[in-house]
Amino acid sequence: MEKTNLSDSLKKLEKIVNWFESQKDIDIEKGLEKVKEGVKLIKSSKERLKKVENEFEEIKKEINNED
Amino acid sequence: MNSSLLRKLRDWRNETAKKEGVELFRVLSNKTLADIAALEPKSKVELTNIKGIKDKKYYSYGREIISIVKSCVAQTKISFPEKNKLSTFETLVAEIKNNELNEKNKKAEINQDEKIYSVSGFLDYLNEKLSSTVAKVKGEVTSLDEREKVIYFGLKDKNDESIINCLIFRYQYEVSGVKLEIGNEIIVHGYSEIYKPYGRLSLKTSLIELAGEGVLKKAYDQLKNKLEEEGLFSAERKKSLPLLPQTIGLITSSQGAAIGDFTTNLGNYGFKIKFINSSVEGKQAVFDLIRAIKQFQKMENIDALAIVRGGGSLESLQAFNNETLVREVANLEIPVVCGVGHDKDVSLVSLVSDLAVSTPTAAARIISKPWDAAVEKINRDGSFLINAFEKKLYASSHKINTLSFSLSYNFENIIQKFSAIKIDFMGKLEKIKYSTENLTNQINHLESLIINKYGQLILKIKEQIYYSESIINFNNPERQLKLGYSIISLKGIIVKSIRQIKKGDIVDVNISDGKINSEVINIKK
Repeated sequence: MEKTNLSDSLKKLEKIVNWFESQKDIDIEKGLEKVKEGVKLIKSSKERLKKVENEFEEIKKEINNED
Repeated sequence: MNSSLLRKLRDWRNETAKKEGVELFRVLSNKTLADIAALEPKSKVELTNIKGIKDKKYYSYGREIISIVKSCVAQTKISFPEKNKLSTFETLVAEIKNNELNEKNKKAEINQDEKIYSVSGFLDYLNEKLSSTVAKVKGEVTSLDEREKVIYFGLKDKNDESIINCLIFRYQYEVSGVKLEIGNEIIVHGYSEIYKPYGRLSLKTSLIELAGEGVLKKAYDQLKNKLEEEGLFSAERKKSLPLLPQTIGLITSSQGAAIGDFTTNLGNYGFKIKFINSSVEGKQAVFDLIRAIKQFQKMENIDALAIVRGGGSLESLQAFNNETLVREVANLEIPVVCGVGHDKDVSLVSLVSDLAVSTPTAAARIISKPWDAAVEKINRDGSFLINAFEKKLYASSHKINTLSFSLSYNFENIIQKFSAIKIDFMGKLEKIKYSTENLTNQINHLESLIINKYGQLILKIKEQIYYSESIINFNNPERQLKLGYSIISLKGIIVKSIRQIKKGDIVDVNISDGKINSEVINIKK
């Protein structure tokens, strides 16, 4: 699986959110596409975030063990 | 065999041969000497029975041999009672025996009165008697006949016309050191003898001396000048004593006080003294002295020879002014110390000696003096050695103290320096520790900072994601449809107002799971 870049994902999500907030009338089709893309990004971001969190916890543990 | 007799005979034979300047066997052979010693002949008959002694020999030596035999045999007899002085009985017996012997001799003499002699026998008998008439005779020289071996001279009484013929062997003449001149007054020592071929009596002289103090003094001065001119008394001739003499030859009389004076003053330095007894009184002593000197000349390892006697008149010291003796002393290789006392004139032996003093005591002192000095030197050097050693010891110990002090001082210095360095080092270590801790703290701080920031970042991201999610969910049209809402669109355009439609239009009704085509039947406002 391609590694998700969180920063990129967040930027894309921000764009999608902004898009929704700027539209008076949301095109159902376009909105759906955006939603689908957003859901995909959120899912991968969550997974990536989970992984980063885990790695971070590991690192914290290692640092504490070193003391 | 009588060995002491043989010894005496041999000595006499050797002496006689020397005097006459002939080989030993010309006088008597060893075999003949042994026969004499074995048979102990006491008369001409007994002696001439021995092989090797014919009339001629008997005439020359017979009386002397018999007198030697008699004296020797008599001595052994006399010595018998002396050895047993305590036993009066034995002495008595010996005396009786002696008396018996004398009786026998007397009888023999009586027998001889009746005996009829041949001329030769009678002269032998007379000569035997005459051999005991040793005497000193004073007179004036009236005639002189010097032959090669013998000197004949006549001696006349000063007061009347009495005269006696004398003869002396060359050797004895030379030793006497008196030049015979007609008209001189002299004293001769000797005994009489009849020369058989002429029936003439002559005095067999063994020694000549000058008569009268004045003559002696004159002879002394003459001889002294002569020897001095020869350089016999010169300082460069003098030999010095060895550094520490040990074996000392001593010539003096065993009778006088000199021997005691000499030996008691020699000191306790372990001297070995080789003593040869010699008469020292009067002119006749010269033979003894010369014999003693010759004996020492033959000995080895004599360090010094002392010739001593007490003081006396010129006459009693004549022997020490004898030319032959002086020359013998001069020829000695051993250094000679002369301790002969004198009245006015120093004896010529003193002058020729290497060291001369005027008493036997002083002679002993001269010999022992280097020993005194040596002992003193040993004592002095010994204490010097100890002092020097102590000084060295003290210096060494002082040096050791100084060194050890400076060593400990320096060592302490080193220790002090070391501890200073240690303190310095500890300080530096402390600093390092401090800065390390500081660094660790900083790192820890940064670490927690990073962790917090990053945690916050994660949280923020999370929030962002949830926010996005909520927004997206909210805007998801499918959500509306699922709730039962439907979206109506006409020709693809979402119908939001009744103005967009009229009765009879066919619209698309989108619901969650499909599309319904519916006809507008009524429109209400």
